Amino acid sequence: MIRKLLFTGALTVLFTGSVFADVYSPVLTPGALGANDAINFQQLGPDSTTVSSGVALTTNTGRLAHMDVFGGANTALAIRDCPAAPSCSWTGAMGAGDGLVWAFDGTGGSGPLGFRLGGVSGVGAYVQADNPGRFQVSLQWFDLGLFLAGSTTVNSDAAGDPVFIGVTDLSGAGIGAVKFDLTDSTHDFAMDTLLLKVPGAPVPEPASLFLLGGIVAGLGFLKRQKLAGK
Amino acid sequence: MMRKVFSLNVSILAVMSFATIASAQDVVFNLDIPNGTPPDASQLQFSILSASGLPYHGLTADQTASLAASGTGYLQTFTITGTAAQNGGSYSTTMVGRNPFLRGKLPTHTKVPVFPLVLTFNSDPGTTFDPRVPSANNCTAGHTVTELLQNSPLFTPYPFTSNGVNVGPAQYIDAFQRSEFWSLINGANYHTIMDLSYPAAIGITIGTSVGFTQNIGCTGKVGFIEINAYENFIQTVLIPYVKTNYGVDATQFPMFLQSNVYWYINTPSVCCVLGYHNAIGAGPIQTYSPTAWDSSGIFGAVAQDGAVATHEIGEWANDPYVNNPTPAWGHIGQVGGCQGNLEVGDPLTGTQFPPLVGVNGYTYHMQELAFYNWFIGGPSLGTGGKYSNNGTFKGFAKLCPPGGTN
Repeated sequence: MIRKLLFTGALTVLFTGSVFADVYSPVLTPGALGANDAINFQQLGPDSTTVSSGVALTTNTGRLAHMDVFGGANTALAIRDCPAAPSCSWTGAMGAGDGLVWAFDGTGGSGPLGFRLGGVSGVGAYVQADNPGRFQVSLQWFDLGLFLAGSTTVNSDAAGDPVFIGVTDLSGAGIGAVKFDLTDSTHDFAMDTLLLKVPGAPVPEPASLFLLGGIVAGLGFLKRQKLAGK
Repeated sequence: MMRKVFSLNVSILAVMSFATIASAQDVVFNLDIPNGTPPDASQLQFSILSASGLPYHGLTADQTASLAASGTGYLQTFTITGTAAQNGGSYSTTMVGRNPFLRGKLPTHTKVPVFPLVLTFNSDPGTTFDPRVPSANNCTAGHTVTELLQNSPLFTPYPFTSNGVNVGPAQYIDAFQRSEFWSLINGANYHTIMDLSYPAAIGITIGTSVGFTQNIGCTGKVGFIEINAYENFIQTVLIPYVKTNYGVDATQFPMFLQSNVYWYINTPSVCCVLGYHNAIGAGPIQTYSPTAWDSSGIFGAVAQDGAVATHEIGEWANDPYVNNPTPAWGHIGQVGGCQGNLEVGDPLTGTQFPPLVGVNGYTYHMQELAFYNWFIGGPSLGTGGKYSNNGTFKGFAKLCPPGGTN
């Protein structure tokens, strides 16, 4: 009896452990991300609104997220409806009509910008440095326990056109948070709409997964008991 | 630090006496400087007057809120480096505002507390030069200087056109900064805004050894102060006082406004300075400008009403710390020799921007200013490919000697 209990316990650990064996893959285009949700930064308020770290955001499908500002005065600026060129100084894919968030606190860069997402299977955005010329953007991603799970960098062209940087979790919705930054010392950049890939159904929380695993294992144990009783 | 001045040559006949100060003030600051040691700032005493009578006492709630994110202790500036076409040298330039070369165009604000100086001269008891009251003989058309300044295009947005390009609405210096870098701005929300306030008027009594009046001009009377004594007084008394009592700090640009009172240098025969800007201190450097508002007409149209303030504020915005080097230029504007700094007013002293009718119906005379590329050379980044905001300069400066302009 005791041996059987130990055996089913081991099965439970293995079962739940396999859920977190995530495989991440950086993506360099919105198409490769396959987003089905997004965070539009126009929700942060009128143009040039100062945004405090920890601000709550809502995705297009109603999911809750939070943005963290790690540098400077821990504030960023919202750019609502970047107007048509030439008035919009952000270029390319970050042009007219878009709502941006800018890691700028009035005197300089305030990046990195982090986003707590609560479990998605993909995330990415266009990023552009405010200093014209070549730049390198970095992306770190974190698992559901908010432990660092991986990182990547992407270089812009010589003109400093926007670059897309993102990551997908090939094994499920295991991305708990991401952090965007420049690899130079300015930490001064803007990013466009944060694109997300989310499961069609609500994503189970880790505790729920463990419970589910326990139930399945428990059912298996009961079935074996019944069989043994016969 | 050197200071930059708006100067015009005028012959002043004066008889100076050296009587001692005898007037009493509500609040008097006496400096203990030995007699006969120039500059004798102890010949200037001041008292704090009420802010009543001033048209506008402080920043609006919106302006205050917009400034809340700043507060670094330093004036908001940017530094760019350019290679001069004239000599191939590399020149670093610091200006007020946000770097127009960067993406993310947005407005920047600087608080500009203006302290009207109510000046009385011991040499002429009963005469007061007060920017808060309309000048004698209706020379300001019934307006006060404080009201004229507040409603002037310097502080009230105006629909400016520069070299055929609509760069407004904006304050005059903001419009100039936009014009100067128009190829980088292109109508974006880039502004260098000055938020005016009048914290208080300050009364100053001028001792007979450092100042006198003359019965000339439309106003019937003008005044003159020895500039070294005055500047010593500003640095050692007035700046510390407004810092302590009115919250002035290095993020701000305090101005000291006086009506029809100018400066001479050492002796009345070396006259006249109408305004200057300066920067003092270490760490957070304090910038400031004493500026005259002329309604006497004794210097002609080129210096009347807002012309001097235009000159000084424009130079402050483009060289706040008075240390932006350039290739030598000169023999133009108010510069008789050669000069090597980026003072956007000096090469065009005496050249007016077309007169502008303000929101109060008053016709203002602002000075034309030279663009960055006039000093550094190369293709102009400014409006219409010109080198000044009203197109007087169609090419950049020639090296001095001989100086002049292309």
